[in-house]
This record gives sequence, C-alpha cells and structure tokens, in this order.
Amino acid sequence: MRFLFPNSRGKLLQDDEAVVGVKEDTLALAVVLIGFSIFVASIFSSMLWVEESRKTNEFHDDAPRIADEIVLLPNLRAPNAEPGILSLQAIERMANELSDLESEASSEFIRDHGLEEIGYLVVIETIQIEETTTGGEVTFTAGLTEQHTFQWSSVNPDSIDAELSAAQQVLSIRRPVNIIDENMPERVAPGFVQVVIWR
Amino acid sequence: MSKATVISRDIQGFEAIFDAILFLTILSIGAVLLQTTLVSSLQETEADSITETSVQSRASMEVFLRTWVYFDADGDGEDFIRGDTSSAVNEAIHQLRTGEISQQEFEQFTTALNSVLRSIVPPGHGYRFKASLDDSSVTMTLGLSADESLPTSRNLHFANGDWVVPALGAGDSGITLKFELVIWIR
Repeated sequence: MRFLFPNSRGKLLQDDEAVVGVKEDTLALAVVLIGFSIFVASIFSSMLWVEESRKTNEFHDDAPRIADEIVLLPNLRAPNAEPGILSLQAIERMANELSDLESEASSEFIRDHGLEEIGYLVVIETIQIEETTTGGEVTFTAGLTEQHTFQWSSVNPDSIDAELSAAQQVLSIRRPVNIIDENMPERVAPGFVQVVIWR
Repeated sequence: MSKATVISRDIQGFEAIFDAILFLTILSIGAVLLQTTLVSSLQETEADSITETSVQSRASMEVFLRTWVYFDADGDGEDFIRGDTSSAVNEAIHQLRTGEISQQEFEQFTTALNSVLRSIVPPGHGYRFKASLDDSSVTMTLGLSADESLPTSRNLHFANGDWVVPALGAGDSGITLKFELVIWIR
C-alpha cells in the first residue's frame, strides 16, 4: 500500500477522527461477526441435535407402533373375535411364511411396517400356567394345555446375537394379547407380542 | 493542542458499537427462543412415554380379564370355578361371601391368579389389581398388597372397569363388580 500510495498512510494516521472511526467500525464489525458466528453455530448445532433427537424419537416410537400394528393385523385375528385376540393357527402360518427372509411375504411385512432401515425380531408367545397337588391333580390352570412360541426376524436367527451386540441402539416392547387355539376356542390364553428393534 | 479523539468521547461511533451490541442481544434472544422450542419437543417425548405406560395398563387389564382359568381347590374335579377371569373372580368372591369356599381356598385361588397377572404385566413394572363387589367388603387384591401404599414417586397408570352382574340375584339392577389395575415402572 505504501508503495502504491506513498503519502496516504501519513495523512490517514494524522487524522485522529478517521483513525477512531476505523477503530469503532472495526470494533462494531468484530462484535457483529462474533455474535453472528456464535448464533449461526448455535443454530447449526441445535439443528443437528434436533435431527438426531427426531431420529431417536422416531426409533423410540417404532417398537410400540410395530407391536400395535401386529396385534391388530386382520390376518392374525381369531375368527369372530375382537381385535387384539389372535389365532394360534394364524400366528403359526405367518411365522412360517416370514421365516423365509427372501420371500415376498417378508418384503411385504417390511414394507407395510416401515422396517426398511432397522433390524427387528418379533416373538409371539402364549403363557401357560398350571398348578397341581402333590398327587398330580390339577388345581389351577390358565391358558392352553401347552406353551407355544413363534418368532421371525430381519436376519437369520443364528446371527441375532451378533446383530444386537453390534447395534447402536436396541429397543424392546412387550404387548399383552389373548391367543385362541381354534381347536378349543373357549380357552382364551394370555400371551404377548414382543418386538425388538435395533439400528 | 487540540484534545485527542477517543472512542469514549465519540458519540456517533459509540452508537455504532451500541447498535452492534443490540444486534447481538437480539440474536441471543432468538437463540434462547429456539432452545425453548426444542425443550418443548422433549416434553412431548415425555408425554408419549406416559401414554405408552397407560396403554400397557389397559392392555394388561383386558388380557387378564379375558383369560380362561380353571380352579379346583382340592383337584378332585368337583366344586370347581371355570371361565374367563372376570367371571371366575366374581364367582370366587360370591362363593366366599356365601361360604361355599373357605378363606384358605379363596387365598389359594388369589395366589394362582396372581401368577397369571404377573406373567401378563410387562417385565419391569409393579402392579396392584383389586376386584370388589359393591355390596360386600370382600376384595381380591393381587400384586402389591392392600396394606402397602402405592409408590407415589412413580407415575401411576390406572385402568378401571365396572361390570354389572345380574346373575348374583340382587334384583334387576344386579351387582357391580369393580376392577382396578394400577401399574408403574419400577
């Protein structure tokens, strides 16, 4: 600058008001820039936090949503029963269909329940309780004559443990349901639908 | 010699800095408002969690009352109680009131029902179930005993149901059997 305008520096420095004006402007600009930078950084980090929270919340909502959807699936409902009372035979059919991960039924299940980006394990189990006397006579029984467990998942059953260990987040929810064996419909059994999801 | 110009004496320049600080203050208020909005969204998540527990309470109650049970105190196949839990509880309370079953048999039935309810209520939850007839002092309590107070430090979720039982012979109006299930996360 001094090379290009050899006389300018001296004149500028001699003008006290100009120097102070520049200082003031510089100070004001610094305050604005620092303030604005902090604000932008704060907005940016807040947005990142909101996005992460939104994803986490969605994930938290997924397990109960999926469990509720399974409980209310029309093709699992026992004949002539209220919604939420499932048929043992229908559950067995569905578990068999969905055990083949390459099947169209599996793809449809993933599509219908929005499971494209998360791993899942669904377990449906009946609860059976029986108490007997020391002589073997039954004094109390609830549910079916034996316990039944069905399950299907997004991965091979053998690799579920490895998937869960490697997952960033795992959530599980259990919804109580009633299950009916169509061969003895009067014996409404207690049971549950357990949904485990991970990502 | 003229007095040197400094920032503190330059009112116009000071106004510029004051404007900048004012601008910074407005940005800070904006940031605080933004954070407030974000905290509100967290409170909604908490509300969702409470709703979820309420759903568990209602579902557990419904499943328990629909469950089929069979009870025969001595296992001899006579004088048994059979049917869905709501009917069986009603019958057991009625039989205790009329003396058809003893207090010991009633407690045996209560213990057995408790094992059913314990397996229905999701793990990690505490519970208390009460069933009572409106015209008698007989009450069946499962889970946390009636002598113990409910944990007030937890969110309690109630599911209630009244069931009118005309078969008990108290006239056309029948007798009301009241059910109440409270659950909480331990």
